[in-house]
Parts: sequence; structure tokens; C-alpha cells
Amino acid sequence: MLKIIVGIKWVPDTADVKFDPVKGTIIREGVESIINPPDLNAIELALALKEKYGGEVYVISMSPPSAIKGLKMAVAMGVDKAFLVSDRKFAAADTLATSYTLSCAIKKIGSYDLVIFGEETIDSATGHIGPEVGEMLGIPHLSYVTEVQEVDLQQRTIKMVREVEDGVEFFQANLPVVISVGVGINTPRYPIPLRRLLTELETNKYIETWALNDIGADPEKVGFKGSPTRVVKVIAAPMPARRLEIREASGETVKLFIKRLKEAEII
Amino acid sequence: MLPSRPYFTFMPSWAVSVFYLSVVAALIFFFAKMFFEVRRYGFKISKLKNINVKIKNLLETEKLLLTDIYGGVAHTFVAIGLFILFLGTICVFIEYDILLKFFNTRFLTGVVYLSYEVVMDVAGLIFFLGVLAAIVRRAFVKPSRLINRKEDAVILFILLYGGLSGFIMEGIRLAIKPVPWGSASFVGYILSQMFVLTGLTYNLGCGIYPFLWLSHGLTLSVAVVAFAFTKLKHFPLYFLGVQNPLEKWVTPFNLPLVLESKKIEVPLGVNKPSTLSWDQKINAEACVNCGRCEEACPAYRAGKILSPRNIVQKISFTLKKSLNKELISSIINEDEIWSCTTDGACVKACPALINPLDYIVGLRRYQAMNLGKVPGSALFNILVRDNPYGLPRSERIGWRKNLDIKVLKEGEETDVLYWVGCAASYDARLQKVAQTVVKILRKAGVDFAVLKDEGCCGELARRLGDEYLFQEIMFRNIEKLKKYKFRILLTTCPHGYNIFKNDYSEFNGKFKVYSHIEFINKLLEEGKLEIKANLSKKVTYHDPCYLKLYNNLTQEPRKILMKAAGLKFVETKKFYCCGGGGGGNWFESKGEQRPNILRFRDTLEVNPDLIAVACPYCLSMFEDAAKTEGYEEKVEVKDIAEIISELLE
Repeated sequence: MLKIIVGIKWVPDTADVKFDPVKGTIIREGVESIINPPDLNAIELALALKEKYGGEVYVISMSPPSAIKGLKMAVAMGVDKAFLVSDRKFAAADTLATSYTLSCAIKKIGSYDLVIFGEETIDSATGHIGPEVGEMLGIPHLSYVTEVQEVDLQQRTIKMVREVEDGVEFFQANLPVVISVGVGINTPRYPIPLRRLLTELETNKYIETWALNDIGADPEKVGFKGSPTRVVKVIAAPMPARRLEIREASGETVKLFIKRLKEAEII
Repeated sequence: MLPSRPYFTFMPSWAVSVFYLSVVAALIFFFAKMFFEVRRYGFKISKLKNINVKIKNLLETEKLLLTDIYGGVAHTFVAIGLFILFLGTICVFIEYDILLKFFNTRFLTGVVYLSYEVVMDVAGLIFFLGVLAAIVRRAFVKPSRLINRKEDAVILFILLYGGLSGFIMEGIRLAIKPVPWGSASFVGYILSQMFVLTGLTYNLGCGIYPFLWLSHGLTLSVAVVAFAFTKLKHFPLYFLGVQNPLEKWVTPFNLPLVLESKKIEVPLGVNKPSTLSWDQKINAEACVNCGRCEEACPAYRAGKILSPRNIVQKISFTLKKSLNKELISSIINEDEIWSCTTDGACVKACPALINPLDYIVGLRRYQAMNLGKVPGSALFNILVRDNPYGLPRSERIGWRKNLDIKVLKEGEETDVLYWVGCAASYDARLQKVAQTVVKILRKAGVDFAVLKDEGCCGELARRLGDEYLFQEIMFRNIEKLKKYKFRILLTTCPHGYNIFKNDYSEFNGKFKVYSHIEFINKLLEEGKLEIKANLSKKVTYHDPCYLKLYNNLTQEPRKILMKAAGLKFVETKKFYCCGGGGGGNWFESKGEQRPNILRFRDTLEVNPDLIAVACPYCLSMFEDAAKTEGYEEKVEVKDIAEIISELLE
């Protein structure tokens, strides 16, 4: 029996987020939120492990109440229970404060074998949360895991694979462990519609909301107060638009294609 | 002497008793079997509706059968012959067993009797020829869709024997005991002359006759039983079942009611025969395995694992054995249900009013709703980004950048609200169709606008079995659309057109929906658009299923093309779906060939320079096929709007 906790974030769909060059801020109005894409892979991994070894999968998210929509989706995918860690005091947290809050929530859940995060979020892309939570819980952590090969429930060990640019790394660790995974390690399953509907009908049965007091966190270490990071300025870095359209395939066009790639210093 | 019907000539009384007993037993068997069977399927007499309509439909059904001349004529001959012979038997029963016995009167005398004999012989002859034709068809012609089973041989033998023995009997009777009016039974009379010529003696005739008579009578009893136990039950069941029409899909729940009551009945969809509705069960039983649905199926044609006939036959077979057997995986393969393009050709082809698509949708719904099993990523994309492409929401308006189209504000009014649809909003090629429609609307001076926040229409979700997602989207859209004032909802996608017209309307979302083809035709007819140039290319037209089969919208595109191309417009000989519907545009199901390639080849048979389509999926499917087949330079594929737009200058 494996007990797995997956941390997810409810993020604005950055594809729709535009930058206001005058104010120097990002425009978030009218932008729908989604589950941070690699977090979906984290959920999928957890559910696949549950199917293989048995057990339970919980999801936690430190977010404003609007994130309940994302948690419902996670439940619909097959997660047993979701916890929304939400309190006004958590607002404006940097990764340190967030990791602290999440580790408090994980401790509150109690026993666990595996904590999985998406490797980074599409709206801030730090990749901090996994390692920081691992440190705060005092357990091993590994980022950019591409595969969980085997979990030995007797020996309480886990074998993992990480594909890096110049090879493949194999790891073994003692449980419990924190890992983070990237987009593309698996294909997230479709949220089961009936389960999605049932979550809608009986939200409280599947989703619990915890505030600061519930997780016993130190008010000084959460939210803005607990965050040593300050955002000083946001600037947009325009990406040069490059567009190459080759509509037929022949020896000539392949040559042309290679020439253009060389010109663009891509190869 | 007044001609009248002779009864039980040369018959020993024991044989007559055996006959009566067998008839009574057969009727008991027939009614008991029918009773227990339909009761097992949950049929109640109160559910018997529209029997008048059913009787009227019988003629339509026979007309449909006649689309296959050989098989159709054979069936019609057998059916009409049998029906008249049955009425004849009823007449005899009334005269002999009621009038003569209780009232000592009769009516089959004189001219009435002679006419009766003529009619009976004509009916017998028609019946016999029909049976012979059917035997020749099954034994020698062997059309590929017919699968011969023992049952078919047995039934044909019973029918053949019934017809043959009747005539021979009549012949013997007239040969050994001639009557002056014998020639009224003209078939029997000819036979009697032959028997006389071959030297049939009175004693031999008297000896053979009772056995022949009894076997003929017993054939009747066996046939009565066969109407309950064999495929012949399609006839009684035809009157009991209700066909779910192609365009009106039955929903397993109504979302607002579910959300309000916080209750939902599970499972949703079909997994075991018990989860079928009573009419679905009865309809499955009515299948005679004729294979017309299979012949019309684009997936089957492309060598995919699906055959609508097999779906119905497998369900019918399982139904007989157990109501609680899981259908998917052991009996019906998952790939079968996902190969369906939901075009509905099978439904339109079935003479027994069976809706094979209804079973497939039920099975899809179970897989999708309860297990989350749907192929491809299109539904996930809709769930997350409100379009099957998974492209950002903000890119939806990309097609109308720089077009300066009126975007409707709440409370504002417009004559025509143009619902662009995901395909024409996101796909680079299909955006051109939307842009052309805008050009045409402007040319005709139409007051139109688009929504600022158009989204998915939910069609794909419904076709793939996620009824929850569909209803979520639909109710959201209905609420949204009701905020605006418009007269006409204009669509370029037949899938959107149909979902608004036939599905939304079932949930109180009634709008006046127009397909762009319908609307362009209207503008042309009203003189608001004028075709100023003639199309110089030979053009053929491929009907979208969701216009042709679901909505019978076939005349408008032809009128437009006739105006545009005149004699250069040629019809493709066959009709099949392009393969893009029911999810086909979004994931590839396994198969030897691809439906779009086959369909493209159909159109090539008339050597067109240009293939006109009226659906974004068809356009993609045909362009893809043209590329694959190396016809990219030789044959153009265009939406009718694009063709017309060029001719308006």
C-alpha cells in the first residue's frame, strides 16, 4: 500500500496572459486558470503507482478558494481526496513560504510514502517547491524524475530514473521521498466525467479546506511575512519571431531548409 | 350449382383434429414466447404507441427495401403474398369455424368465392416466386452482405414447402374431383391438367391428398411458431418497438435536475444488456441480419473492425442468453465503438427501424462517463481550453483580426449571429472559410455579428459519450445566447448546426439555426446575392452527414451549385461519410484503409476539377486525402461559400 501526496498549483493559462508594456505588469483579467501542466503528470504518475501497488492518492494545493475547480478535476482523475490549503495569511508567498506551508499540510496528513510535484509552474518556473519541501520534511528529494521503475514496499525503497541531456541516471532512495516530474513523462488520464459530476454534487466528501490554524503553521513563516523574496520589476523580453514555411518536400527544399537552419544558427 | 369452398375433401377426421390441435398449440407457443420475451425486456402494453404510424410506415419500409431491387422485390413478394394468404385463411376460419358452425351460413360462395380463389392463387404465386427468388439469391447470387445461417435455410424451406404443397394439393383436388369453376384457381387448374395428363388416378390422388393436406396444415403451424422463435419475429416486433430517430439523441440525465436533486442514477450508458432501454432490447431482437447497415457504414467499408450489423447481432445474441453479461471487451471490442463516425447511414439503411448508432452511443457513454475512457486528447483540450485543438482561448479570435466585425455586446441586437465554431476559428485553412462567409454576408448587406466569447458547442463531447461535459457546455451556451438579441443563428459547421438544431432544442435552447449553405441559398433566391460569373470547372459535391442524414438538407447546396456551374455540376454516384465525424477528425481508429481516401476516390469517379464541401471536417478530410493520393495539384477542395464568393464579382 502506497500513500502518495501530490502537490498541485492552480495557475493562469499563461498562453492567454498578455504583458502590459506601459504598466510593466501582466494582464490576468479574463484569463482562465488551469492545473499547472506538469502537475497533471504528477497526478498521473501517482495514480499509475496506486494502480500498480495499491494505496491512496491525496492532492494538496496552497491556493485561493478558486482553486477548488482544479482540485475537483484532480479528484475526477481518480485522486481519493484533495486538500485545499487556503488562508488569506498565505497570500503573496514566495517559494520558501509556500514550501513551508505545504510541508505543514503534508505533516498534518501524517503518514506518506511519496510526495510528487510538477517540476515547475508555468507562471513562475522556479522549480523550488519539490526540493524545499523535501528539506523541510527532512527526507530525500529528487527533481526531474522521468520514471519510477519500482517501489519495494518490503524494503521501503524506490528506484527512479532521470533522463539528463547526456545520459540516464538511476537512483534508489528510502521511502518516504519527494520527487518532481516534468511534462511528457506520461499522458495524464481524462477526468472521469461521472466522478467529476459526483465531486460537484458532494464537494465536501472529496475536498477538505484547511486554514492556517488547521495545519498548525507559524504565522510568521507564511505568506508575505514569511517570504524573503521581493519582486522588484517585471519586464517583457520580446522574442524575435522566426517563421519558416516549407510546403513541399523535395531535394531542393531539404537543402533550402538546412541552409536556413544554418543561417539561423540552429545547427 | 353455386360455386362454394369445399372443406376437408378426402380428409379423415383424425387428420382434421391433428391439424386443429397443432394450430392451437402453435398459437399458444407463439403468444407465450412473445409474451415472455417482451415482458423480459420490460415492455408493457401501455408503451405501445403510434401503431397507426407503424402501419403507415410499413409502406415506407418496403420502399426502403426496394433500394436493393432483387432482395427488395423478393421480400415484398413474400410479405404481400403471405399477408394475403393469411387473410384468406382468416376468411376460411370465419366461414367454416364460426358462420357455418354457429349460424349455418356462409359467404365464400358464387362470385365472391371465385374472386377469392383468383386472389388466393395470385397471392400464392407471388409468394412462391418471392420465396424462389430468395432461395436463388441466398444459394447462388450470394450478395456479400448476406450471411447464410441454418435458420435462413430452414425458414426458406418451410415457406417453399407451404407454397408448393398448397398448389399441388389444389391441383390434385381439381384433377380427381373436377368442378366447372375450377379454372378460377388458375395455378391449381394448370397443375391439375398436368396431373391428368401424367395419368393421376383417383385412388392415388385420394391416397396422397390427406398427407399433403396435413403437412401443409402443419407447415402453417410451424410457420406461426417461427414468427416468434426465428428471425421472422422482426415482423411482430416491428409493431412493438420504437425507433429512436437519428437526429434526436436520448439523454440519460438532465444536468440542472441532477445538480438540484444531487442525485444521479448510475451506471450511465450501456455496459450490460440490462442497461438497454426496453425498445433497444426489442429492436435488437428484430434484427434479421440483412447487413444493409453494414453496407452503408464508412468504417466497415474502410476495413475497420466495426460493423453496425455485428453490434446489433452481438447485443441480440447476448440478450437472449443473459441480461447481465458485460458487453465491452468479451463481446464487443472497444475499437468497434470508437471506429464509428456517427454519420447515421446505418440508421437510415435499416428497414426494421433499428438504430445501431443508439447502441454504439450507449456503449461509448458508459466507457466515457463511468470509466473516463475516451480516445485522443480532444475532450481533455475542450475541458481545459474550451476547444478540441488545445490552443489558447485567446487565439480563438485570430481569424477575425483586421476584419473589423461587429462583436455583439450584451443587450445589443443583430439580425444574424454568426457562430463560427472551433474549426473555422482555429484551423488556418478553415479560417479562410469563415472569412469568406463574412465577405459574402457583407456583400449581401446582412446585419451580422459575432460573440466576444464564443466557445466550444459541445458536439464532440456528446458524440464521444461525455454527456456531462456536453450538457455543461450546452447550458452555458444557452444561457450565454439568451443574453443577446438575434433572429438567426448562423453556422458554418454542420456539426454545430445540428447540435443547436436538434440537441440544444431538446433542452429548451430553441434557436432559429441556419447552415451557411442554407443561408447563402436564401440570399441567392432573395436576389441579395447575384452570381455574375460561371464556374468554369467541373464540380462535384460531397454531402456532410450532419446536413444530409441528420437534417435532410440536400437541395440547397445543389441549387447553389447548379446556379454556379450548370451542367458542369456532376453528382458523385455513391454516398459515404468522409470519416471525420464522431471523433474521426480527432483520432485515428485502426483499419485497413481510411474512410476519407475511399470517399475521395468515389468523387474522382466523375473526374471533377473541384470538390465542393460544406463542412470543415469534410474539407480537412478531403484535402488530406488529395495530398495523400497525389492529387493536390489536380483537384481542388473548397467550401461552397468559397466557390460562390469568387463568382459574385
